[in-house]
Amino acid sequence: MHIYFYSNTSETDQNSQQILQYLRRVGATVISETSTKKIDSLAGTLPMDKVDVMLIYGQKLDAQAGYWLAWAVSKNKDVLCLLPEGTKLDAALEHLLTDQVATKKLHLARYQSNDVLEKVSNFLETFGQDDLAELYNIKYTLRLSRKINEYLDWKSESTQIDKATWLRQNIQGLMEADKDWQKYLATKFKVKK
Amino acid sequence: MVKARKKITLLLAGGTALLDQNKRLLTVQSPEDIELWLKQMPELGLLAEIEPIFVSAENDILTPEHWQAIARQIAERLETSSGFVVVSRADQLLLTANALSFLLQNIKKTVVLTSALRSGTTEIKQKNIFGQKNDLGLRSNLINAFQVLDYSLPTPAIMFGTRLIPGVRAINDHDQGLNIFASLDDNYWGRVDFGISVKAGLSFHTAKTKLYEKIKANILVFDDLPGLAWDLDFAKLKNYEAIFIRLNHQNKLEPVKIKQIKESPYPVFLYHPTQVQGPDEAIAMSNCTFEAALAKAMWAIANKDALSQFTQIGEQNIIGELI
Repeated sequence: MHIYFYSNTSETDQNSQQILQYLRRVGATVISETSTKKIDSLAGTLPMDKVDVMLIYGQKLDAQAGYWLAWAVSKNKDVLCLLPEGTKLDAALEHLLTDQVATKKLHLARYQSNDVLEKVSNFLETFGQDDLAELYNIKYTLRLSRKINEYLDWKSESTQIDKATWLRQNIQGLMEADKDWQKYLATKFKVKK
Repeated sequence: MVKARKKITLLLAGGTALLDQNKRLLTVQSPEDIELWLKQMPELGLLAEIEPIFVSAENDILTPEHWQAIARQIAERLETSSGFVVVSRADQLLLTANALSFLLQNIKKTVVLTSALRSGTTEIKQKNIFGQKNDLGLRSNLINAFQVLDYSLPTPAIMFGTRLIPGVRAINDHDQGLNIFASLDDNYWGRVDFGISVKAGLSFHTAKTKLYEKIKANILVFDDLPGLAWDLDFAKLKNYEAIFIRLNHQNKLEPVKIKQIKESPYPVFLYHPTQVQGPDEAIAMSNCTFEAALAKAMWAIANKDALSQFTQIGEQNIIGELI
């Protein structure tokens, strides 16, 4: 999962650091930007369109956060906007949150000082279960031996299922039967206390 | 740094095609269409407070009257608006950008032009691009254009795809997919990768702002090819005020053509991207884009009386159009 993380708090902000650590721990590829520090070096290796999720965290919405929010909504990307509990919402964001189309992807979470990671975790859990996670949109290059290839050819012929579909079906069968994997999924996004 | 919310003026002159969530084509054909059109892009409200202004319909071909109208609307709002985004036909965007550059000289507000990938509903239907996922590019182009208004750009610029290009240097680019414009001299003011990176050191011209109201298009424009004759019957050219010839070569013009230029009662502009070999009577235009030269001629003809050295206009770098 590729996550773009934008924070407009100070560089010493504990929550911001913890979010970054958490995202990396759950295996996300994170590209981060703060209002004082430009995008990290990973950005050059990943096209913007490949970003799956955008996380925006701050005390309030600044111009750059507004830009990223607008970009994410226009590109139909999932976006979580983390703002402190009790702060007044920007009128434009408030308006956007009433838009039926935009709110399918745009999520607002109000955090308190001690629950910001929980908000991120809740969001990522729901993200992992949406239709996008089931889309076969990741291209894979797989090197096989002649013997395995011959088997796949034979299997495809005898089952009348193309090789890629057969492989996918079998991997999904393995996933469903794998208890350790199920256990991992159940706790993947849990915040370690 | 938390910035104040911008109040921007959005001028609509074609190039407004986008697809709604049901993949239906939406364009602005009249002022009444603007509300529904803007509603498709609620995210724009996050970036700025928008004042939309209708200039022309999606299917209208732009003329000097439209360019003058856009310039007038901008001039009237120079004090009150944070910046200006002009959405206009992609197929005329180069000339529109250049026309505005000559009409609005040294203004101290940023003007950014952008468009959908295709313009005019007829063209869109013919190309059958309703299935495109990119929504004709307009949403991203607009978001990026709005963002660029935070910067002080010396002259009107084109924001399209991943490129921010000075309007007077922009040319068509047929090889780069969504980037349908490029810079003649590889001079880009900004690029979009992760967000927008705008070139450092850009600023408004310090020279006094000059606002012009008129630009004229009653210029006979044609291409010259060596060996192919043209015969100008000046009696039949009464509706024109000038002749603009684009040279497709760097050869010396044939004597018969030179004779016609010398005898012309109208100013004759000779354009070639790098070098012009013509008689002294002609106004040589080179080292700039074709659209910059043409817009300059249109502006010069309309404001001839106010220009002290009209015949030397080709050599004068009015707004940074010369390379």
